[in-house]
Amino acid sequence: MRIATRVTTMCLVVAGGTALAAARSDAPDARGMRFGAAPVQSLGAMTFGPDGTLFIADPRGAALFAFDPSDKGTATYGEQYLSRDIDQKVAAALGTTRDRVRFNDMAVNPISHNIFLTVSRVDGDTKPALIRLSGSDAVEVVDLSHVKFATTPLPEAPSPDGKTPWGQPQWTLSVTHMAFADGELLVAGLSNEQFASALRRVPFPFSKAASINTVEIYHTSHNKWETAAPIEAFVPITIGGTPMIVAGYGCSPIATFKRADLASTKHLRGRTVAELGGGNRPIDIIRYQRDGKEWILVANSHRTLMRIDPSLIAAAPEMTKPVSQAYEPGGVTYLPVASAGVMQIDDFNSDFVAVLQRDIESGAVNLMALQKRWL
Amino acid sequence: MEDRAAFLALALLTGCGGEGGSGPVMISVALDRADSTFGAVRVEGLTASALERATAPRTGAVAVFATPGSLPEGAPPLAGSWRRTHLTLEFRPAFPPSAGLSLWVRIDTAALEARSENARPLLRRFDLPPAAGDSAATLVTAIHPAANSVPENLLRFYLEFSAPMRPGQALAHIRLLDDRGVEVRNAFLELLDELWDPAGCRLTLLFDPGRVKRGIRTNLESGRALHAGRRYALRVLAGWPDARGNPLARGAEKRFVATAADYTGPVPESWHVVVPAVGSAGPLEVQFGEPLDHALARRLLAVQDEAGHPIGGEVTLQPGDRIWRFVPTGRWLAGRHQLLVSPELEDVAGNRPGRPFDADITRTPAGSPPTKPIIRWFTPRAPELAAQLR
Repeated sequence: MRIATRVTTMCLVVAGGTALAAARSDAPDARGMRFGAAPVQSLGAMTFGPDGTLFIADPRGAALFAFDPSDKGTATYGEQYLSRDIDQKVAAALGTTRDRVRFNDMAVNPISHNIFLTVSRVDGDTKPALIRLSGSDAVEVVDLSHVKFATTPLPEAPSPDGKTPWGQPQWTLSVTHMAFADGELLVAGLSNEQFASALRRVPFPFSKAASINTVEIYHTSHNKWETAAPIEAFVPITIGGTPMIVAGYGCSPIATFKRADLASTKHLRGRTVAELGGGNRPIDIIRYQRDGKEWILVANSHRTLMRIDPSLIAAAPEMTKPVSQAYEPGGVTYLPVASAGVMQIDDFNSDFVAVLQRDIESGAVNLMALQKRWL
Repeated sequence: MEDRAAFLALALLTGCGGEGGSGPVMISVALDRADSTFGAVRVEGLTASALERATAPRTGAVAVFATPGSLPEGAPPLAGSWRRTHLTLEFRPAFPPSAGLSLWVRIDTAALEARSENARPLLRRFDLPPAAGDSAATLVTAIHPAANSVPENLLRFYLEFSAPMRPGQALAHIRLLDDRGVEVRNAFLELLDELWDPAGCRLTLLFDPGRVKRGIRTNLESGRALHAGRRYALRVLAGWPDARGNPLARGAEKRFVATAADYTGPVPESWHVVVPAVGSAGPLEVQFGEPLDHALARRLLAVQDEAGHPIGGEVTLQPGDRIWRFVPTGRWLAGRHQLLVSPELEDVAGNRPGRPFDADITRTPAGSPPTKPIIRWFTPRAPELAAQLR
């Protein structure tokens, strides 16, 4: 083996420009999607449509994206651990260490069962990445410079320079959570209207006009009506024949909105039905079925996973008085599931729910499959 | 951007290339001259057909990995793109790898040359320089037991470092020397997987238990590594690489004297317990009367109230590992409390309560060692008058 050193100078081809020029440019398809380089500035909340269209919010770029992930085949995983040490694997793909990776959202492709993660590196290069997991060890960064996509501006986005009263850039709260229902992308977050909590409805394909509602709720820990607190996480669900939205707020009331009211009333007052207990933030909410019955599952920043029975929500009286002390739950009860450190959840298949979970002993982040028969 | 367009080639390594006519394969890693971050990997010396195969999507025949140390099996490759410019194959990462990581370039030359033999892929490692502000070298921060005398049947040392270390290097960088400066050979157990904590900052260094335990063959043949009454030095060599590949700032040495062997396990019933005052958040202090195992003593004692509800708090071991202190997160209530001692607690010689590491069963009949936690009851004392008046 010969070892030597040398000094070379050469021209650097500007990679981004090359990718753009090389990208295929087709006419848009029926969903308005075309091949090209998706001009994303950030990758945040994410959800799948029933046909496998992947919707991702770009809050920094004040845009919404729809991607055709072109998933092929069906992913296979280990049983209990869908993927061990996923933080380490993502870090390896991004060329950094696990402590410098932040997970923004997780979504399971309902067709291929590939698991997608939006992540960021926090060591100066804040370029976002979309990760596709097509098996326990098959971690891949999706190349967004050659992808089929459509995009639309985020309606009534906060101004790029706007700050919250406590100094946080407003765009970081412009999209907190998304879900797809009945041909519409539902987008929760803050709008530019005096820093108001908003629920946007964006029809897909993105050719039709979007609508926006401002929302307020009675806050059971703060004892006041709040118009500025964004919905942190929500799930569209039909309860007793009525299409609803069950929404979780920081510190941490649960409120419901009737979907029918979204079209008729611009400013909506939610119905607060539960207080999960203050000092906590619901991070993710899903619905899932077990033995023909529907349940709601809530992942929390400072509490365990929780299961809520939707039929209790239907029958629950509205909460109009505060709880009497810090951390106290109230209203609709929940089952605290013995699972801590859960950061993201999504329905996986008929038997399992996928969770992104930090092991609180080792600190490692794993993708786990929780059995629905215990949930 | 002018200066970013220029590269400084950090290293050029040649490896064994394809034997079927192609020349040697050369792998070089280019650093961005502006900030010394990684710029590109270049591979030269591949045949035209190999270049064709290397740039075909998803073959995996050429791959770059970025890791903080060794290359774990199944690690996903660094995201980026391969392309060929004339006869050079070039990889550019989608994200610049963080400073201080190791880059691994793997080239499956047999697959690239479409040869069927089962040749081992070429694997080359390049260590990226640490970030400018990240140059503080790693240090040995502690060696336990901290006491300067230890029983001759000491079972383990703990070596603590200020940053993660590269595993697989320990015994090459540790020397046990006797009072004449002669190395005591084969004192420590050689393990394929060294005993590191998950962070890679604490090593458990086990004496060869076969030499420690009486009557075992290696004990009979070689005797113990330590002999009562003699002085020793445990020396850590400065060349030991940390996880970034940098040597330690300096070596470290622990001098100690060996004392008579200890064949008696901890006796929780005999510990001196200093109780806190009711209503205070003062410490509960447990004096063992001997040093206990540094790692185990920290986590194998717990506090509960009379009904068995755990009481949360912060545990510290005083230097020397003879005193355990527990400061509750709340305040002490009146009434009886339990100090739970796991039967797996050990002293520095590996003796457990009621179960010596090394018992002569011909002399001491084997009793039944405890299998459940041993309970020491204590009652917080009445608050002092001054505290009551406040």
